[in-house]
Amino acid sequence: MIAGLIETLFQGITLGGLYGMIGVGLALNFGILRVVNLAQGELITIGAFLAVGLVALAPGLSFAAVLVGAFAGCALIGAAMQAAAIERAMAFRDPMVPMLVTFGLAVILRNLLVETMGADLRGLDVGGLGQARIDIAGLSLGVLPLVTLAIALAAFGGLAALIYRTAFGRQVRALSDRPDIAALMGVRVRRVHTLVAALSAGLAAIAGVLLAMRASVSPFSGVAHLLVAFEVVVLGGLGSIRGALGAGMLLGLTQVVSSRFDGNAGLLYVHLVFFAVLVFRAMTGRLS
Amino acid sequence: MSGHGKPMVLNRRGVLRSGAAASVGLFAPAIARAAGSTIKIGYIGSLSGIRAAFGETESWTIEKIRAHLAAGLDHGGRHYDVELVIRDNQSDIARSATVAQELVLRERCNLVLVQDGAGAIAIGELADARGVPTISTMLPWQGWMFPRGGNPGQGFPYTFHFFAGSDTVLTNFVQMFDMLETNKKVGTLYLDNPAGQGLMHPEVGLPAALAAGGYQEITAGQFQEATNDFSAAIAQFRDAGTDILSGFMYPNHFIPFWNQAAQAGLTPKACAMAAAFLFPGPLAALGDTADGLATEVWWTPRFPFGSSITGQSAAELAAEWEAETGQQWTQPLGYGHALWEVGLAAIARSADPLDPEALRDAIAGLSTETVVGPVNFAQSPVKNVAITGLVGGQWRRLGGSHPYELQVVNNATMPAIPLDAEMVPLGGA
Repeated sequence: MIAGLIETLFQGITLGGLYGMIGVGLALNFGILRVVNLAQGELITIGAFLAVGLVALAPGLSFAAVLVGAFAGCALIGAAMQAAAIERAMAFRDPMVPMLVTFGLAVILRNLLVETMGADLRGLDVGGLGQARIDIAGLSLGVLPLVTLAIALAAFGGLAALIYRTAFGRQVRALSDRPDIAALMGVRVRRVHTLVAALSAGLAAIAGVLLAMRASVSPFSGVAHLLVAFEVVVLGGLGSIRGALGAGMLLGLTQVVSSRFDGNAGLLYVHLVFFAVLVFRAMTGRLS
Repeated sequence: MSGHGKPMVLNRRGVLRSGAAASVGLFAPAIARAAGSTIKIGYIGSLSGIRAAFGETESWTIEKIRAHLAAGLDHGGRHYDVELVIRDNQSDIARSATVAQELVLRERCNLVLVQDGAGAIAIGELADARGVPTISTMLPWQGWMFPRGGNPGQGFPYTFHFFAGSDTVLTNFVQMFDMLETNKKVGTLYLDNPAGQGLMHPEVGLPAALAAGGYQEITAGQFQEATNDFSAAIAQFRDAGTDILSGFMYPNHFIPFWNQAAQAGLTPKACAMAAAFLFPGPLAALGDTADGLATEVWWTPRFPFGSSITGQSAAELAAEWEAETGQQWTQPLGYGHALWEVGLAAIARSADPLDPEALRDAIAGLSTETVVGPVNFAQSPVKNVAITGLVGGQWRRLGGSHPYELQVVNNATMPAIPLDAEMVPLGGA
């Protein structure tokens, strides 16, 4: 009984790490750039497809190289999107404009992906790792979920160190708090914006790789990812990185625990928890 | 038609047999819907999307058929050009409806062949209403007839289907489980879609078949299409000590399911999951642990039948595919080919291929031999359906040119098919 409970918690926390990863790019983008990037789901999908493509092209590539390759590829796409389109849209005072631009970009990316890769589902073959397990005191813990969690935690740790411990991070935070004063102090606004967009797209790619290792992705799965990402960002407090990890854990635990009682619920209870938290916040007047 | 001189390039046996019926049909009013003498054959298949594995061989098959029909058809002393209108439904219901409208309303096809279940259900009502003869396959016939609100006594006006029944799949599963020494506890879970719901039906589905065979079912019920975490179901099976796993899911569910089962230390003796590992591709991703997975088998190159179009045996057809593509054969290779065999045989025995009613009557009275075996609409207990045979098999690591080979281990439901091997527990003998 206790063992079953611990295993459930383990599954929930590892899935939560993945959900946190799905949300963190969106949180970063919103927190710093004040842009709701509706193309985040597509970037996650593209990250997964990049990894699958890399493995197909160079089968001997190490996992770290695949991860870096997917990160770099997506970061380039994110930076290009920011520099070419979103930055200009941000000049409008209305936040709807950049959001609509990202919506358009999402549609374009999705259809490009269908055109070039087809509508098939793809997964990342991880060999024996997929079934490996560790037995501790009567518990069976999967190695793949552990690896997923470790990568997610490392990504969160790295991101926190970058934002709170480096000169670049100081510029980013300054820009986020008072963009006008930061610009006066010599922060190169556009450059920082582009780098943040690249970073958030790169984080989406890592989430995509982790997803493809666990199950499979299709060009159409971006929308489902975006929904999870949204819930993570809103639950975690808009733009909060640490909050995103906590919110991911809460949603992951909710999904795994609820499936014990109702196997066909899917993400229903996840959405219900999200809804309940929002209602609670609205009642206590802490919506944002 | 056999009396009209020119020999058919199609199915000679079917043509000869149908001679009498066709000459009656000659006097039926012929309303040619397409201008000139072009027979327009529409096609809907899952060339991409979640069932892309079912359509993997289709483009190759279509190219062969296109070459075969390049010079057109001679029928009843007349020459017809044949135009193929090929559409990919991306395994998607909404997209199926779009392409169905295209083929029926815009392209005004004389005959539509459908290789995908969602595609067949999407086009059904439209084709019946507009009078477009349609033949579909690759879905257990119950899954085609009942979701459309049909019944075996009544059938449908213009839509036809040939495939095995889901009852035969279940019979094979139980017969294969019977071959092993187990504790008779079966853990089941089902994808929440029409096919999964059909399979978990308490009276005609797997639960009934298992109960009849003396098995105890421990079910985790249904799960959603987007599920990627099966830990709750797996814990339930492990706690119950199930020796056997069964149910319905696609490969993209089975890979995480099987991996997570191994992570949790669940080691069953047998696993037969409908639709999950019909194909060798996903098995390679499972490494050694796929040795002994059991599946329903609709077709293998060892089926003792031949093509009415090319004259090839089943083995020759598979060998040609493997030689030209370098890929292992898959079961839809046979059915994808047979779909065209049935379509062309129907045209051959139709009094007028351009007249929808004549063509409809030709399909209804069709009994022909194909590379998957006999397809008989004429003497079928179920209207508009030709029930084909199905056996049970196991994926085995035999060390040949492919990682896994499909071996027929149970032929009680279709004795014409030779046995390849004996059933062994998971992990090999």
